[in-house]
Amino acid sequence: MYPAWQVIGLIQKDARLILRRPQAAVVLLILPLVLMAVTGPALDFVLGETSLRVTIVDLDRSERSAQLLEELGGVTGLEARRAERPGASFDEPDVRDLLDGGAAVLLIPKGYSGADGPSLRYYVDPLQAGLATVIQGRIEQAAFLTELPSAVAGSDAAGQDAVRRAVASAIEAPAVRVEDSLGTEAQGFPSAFEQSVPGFAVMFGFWMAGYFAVVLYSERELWGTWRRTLASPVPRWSMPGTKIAAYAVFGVLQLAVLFTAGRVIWGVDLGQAPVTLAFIMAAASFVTVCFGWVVTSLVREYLAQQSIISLSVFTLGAIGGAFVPVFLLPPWMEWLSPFTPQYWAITAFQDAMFRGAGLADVTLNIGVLLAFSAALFFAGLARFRLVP
Amino acid sequence: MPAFLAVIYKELRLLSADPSSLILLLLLPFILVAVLSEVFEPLVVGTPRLDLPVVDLDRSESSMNIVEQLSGIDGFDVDLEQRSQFREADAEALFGGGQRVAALVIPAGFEDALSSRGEAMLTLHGDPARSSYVSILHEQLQGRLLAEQLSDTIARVAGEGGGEAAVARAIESAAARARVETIPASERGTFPSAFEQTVPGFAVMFGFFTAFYAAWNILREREEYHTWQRTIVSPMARVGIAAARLVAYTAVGVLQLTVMLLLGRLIWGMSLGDAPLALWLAIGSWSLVSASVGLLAGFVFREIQALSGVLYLSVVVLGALGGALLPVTFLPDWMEAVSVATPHYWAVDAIQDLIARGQGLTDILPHLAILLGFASAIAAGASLVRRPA
Repeated sequence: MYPAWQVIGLIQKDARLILRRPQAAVVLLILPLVLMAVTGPALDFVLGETSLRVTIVDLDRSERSAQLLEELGGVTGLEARRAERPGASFDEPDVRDLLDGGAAVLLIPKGYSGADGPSLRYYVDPLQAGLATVIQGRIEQAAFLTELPSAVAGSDAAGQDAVRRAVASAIEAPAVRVEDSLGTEAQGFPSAFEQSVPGFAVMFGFWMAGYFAVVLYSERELWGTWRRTLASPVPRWSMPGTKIAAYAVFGVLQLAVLFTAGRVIWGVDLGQAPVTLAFIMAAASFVTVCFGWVVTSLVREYLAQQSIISLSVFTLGAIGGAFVPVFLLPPWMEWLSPFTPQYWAITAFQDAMFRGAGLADVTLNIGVLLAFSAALFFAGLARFRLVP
Repeated sequence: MPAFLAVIYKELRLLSADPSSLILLLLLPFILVAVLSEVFEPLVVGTPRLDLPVVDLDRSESSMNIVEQLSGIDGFDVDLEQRSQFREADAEALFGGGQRVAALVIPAGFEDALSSRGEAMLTLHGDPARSSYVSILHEQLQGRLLAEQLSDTIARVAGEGGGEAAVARAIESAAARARVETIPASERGTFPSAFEQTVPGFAVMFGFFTAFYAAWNILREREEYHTWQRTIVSPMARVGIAAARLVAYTAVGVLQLTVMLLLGRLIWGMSLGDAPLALWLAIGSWSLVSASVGLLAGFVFREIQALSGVLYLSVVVLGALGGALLPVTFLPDWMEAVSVATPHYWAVDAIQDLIARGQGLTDILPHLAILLGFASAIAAGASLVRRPA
């Protein structure tokens, strides 16, 4: 049995290797944080928490079009911008200028308020058609409410009264209503950042596998430090083990910094179970480093190693629910999701942060992550050549 | 000229000496584009389809009517469960580990409440980790149920006061006049598919890996193969050597993006627009920018670790800022302002103009000029930062 201090010495050596190369922090910390900063507000858009910009051109300039404009001002998720067109002219090529970075242009055509007037025209930027279509339903609803009084005015007095009562009854006091119940111990509503921070932290925490591979490659092929360590009085087979343990510790630190930054910068609620979070971080970091280990064991070429790890960071992260929640994925991806460690890590973090889960509730997730780690470690061990 | 061609030939021979890396370079972006386009498809196309478990505790005619109404709504896959009781823990089980966003419960006594008080309540148990989606779902459900009930309610109230037919006519007329005609704001005349929207961005973003490949080869030539030293003692100006490298890696970039777009065409039936020359010029200009960045990085960095860190950061961050992940208009104002300072923005916008908006060469001339400006500035920077020797 070798003294523990020798093993600790190996871990210290790896810590020094990381600290001497501050550029590691670029990928491991700054990259995920910048991406969270960029995609967080974008996710707000996708979640409907930020309004879509729609330019409105009123060529009719009638009482009814004014009423419609007023109604549109109150539509949720729509930021209406008026564009004046003197002389009541509008050409199709104008649309691109009028879009001006917005999602759509709503044209109230000349003669709209007439008895058989033309319908509203909604010019949508092809690249924002998805969200603009959602808003279209709300525009139609606003137009319906604006049209209703004049439609009723055409009928007799009894009919007008009946319609008013019917609409008031149907809209203000519908017979069947739906109430929300979020019913768990967690309080409040997670923001876009609270939904994206665990996802991106796990996804880019996986870069640690790439860094592990870089250092192992450099030690074995470039720096010669691997051979020097082999010649030192430490058990040979403890070298991969201690290296994996050391990088798992760095992985935990990386995730802790990312979550803390999420808390400090964007006010992300980390829940009430810090110990549970620490266990999940440890399990997620082990999988990450073991993945780096298996790649370096199976693939010798540096570029191939990095390509496989880059591919895995994005594809496994995306399938595991880091970019888009799993329930929004195509069915075949939703089916594949539980086969990725990222799925189990992200679900565990969200359980602990937003669903009020404790350590006992995420045991299965942690167990699955450790099983992934063990499988990857032994797969790597079978192919690893101790002496390069 | 023969010397210039000889350097290009040497570069291409170096590339072909490592075929596995070359294949990865060509295929890696395609695989990433394929997976991420599938992931983003539901968000790009519109409201995604959601699984909605409905628990019917009432098991009455009215509750079945509600289930029937919900089943007819576009965008929901209703999964009916008839039970005699329901607890909070059951709701969490129905969420399926994050694979469903909410469960709708029709409580016992629903039909009695509806007939005695004229109103009744449904409960939507939402996953608190997905509360934003629960709110969207809640709004959709309430809106659709309201629309389903509107005609019944109007008929009932109108029936009490007379004039039912007049009311129906008025409602029909208002609904007809409220219709909105949707038109794509582009020359193409049709809306692009999800892949036609996402592929240009991802292609630009991951096409930037060429820069890493170019820089890594310069580093290897200097530190490992020592062919760099041999090349610079050859009877050729250093500017010529650098230009030959730019040409070689631009060719690799063009090949990479061409493979990606052709596979997109074959597999997903993507339209590549009506201006193939313009598209080729756009990907050529973008590949020249990538190759210039590779040249600069290859001269600046001495270690592969630093090179990897900075270039990965560039691929992802500049890509996200430049609108490769999501449209630039989704970004906060200050980021939107910064995005035009990235070459990615101009490359993504040019390729999207051609593929998704159906524009032509004259529309993207400013983009091409700006991309060539970026490439020239970066290549000039490479010659200033450090002598290749």
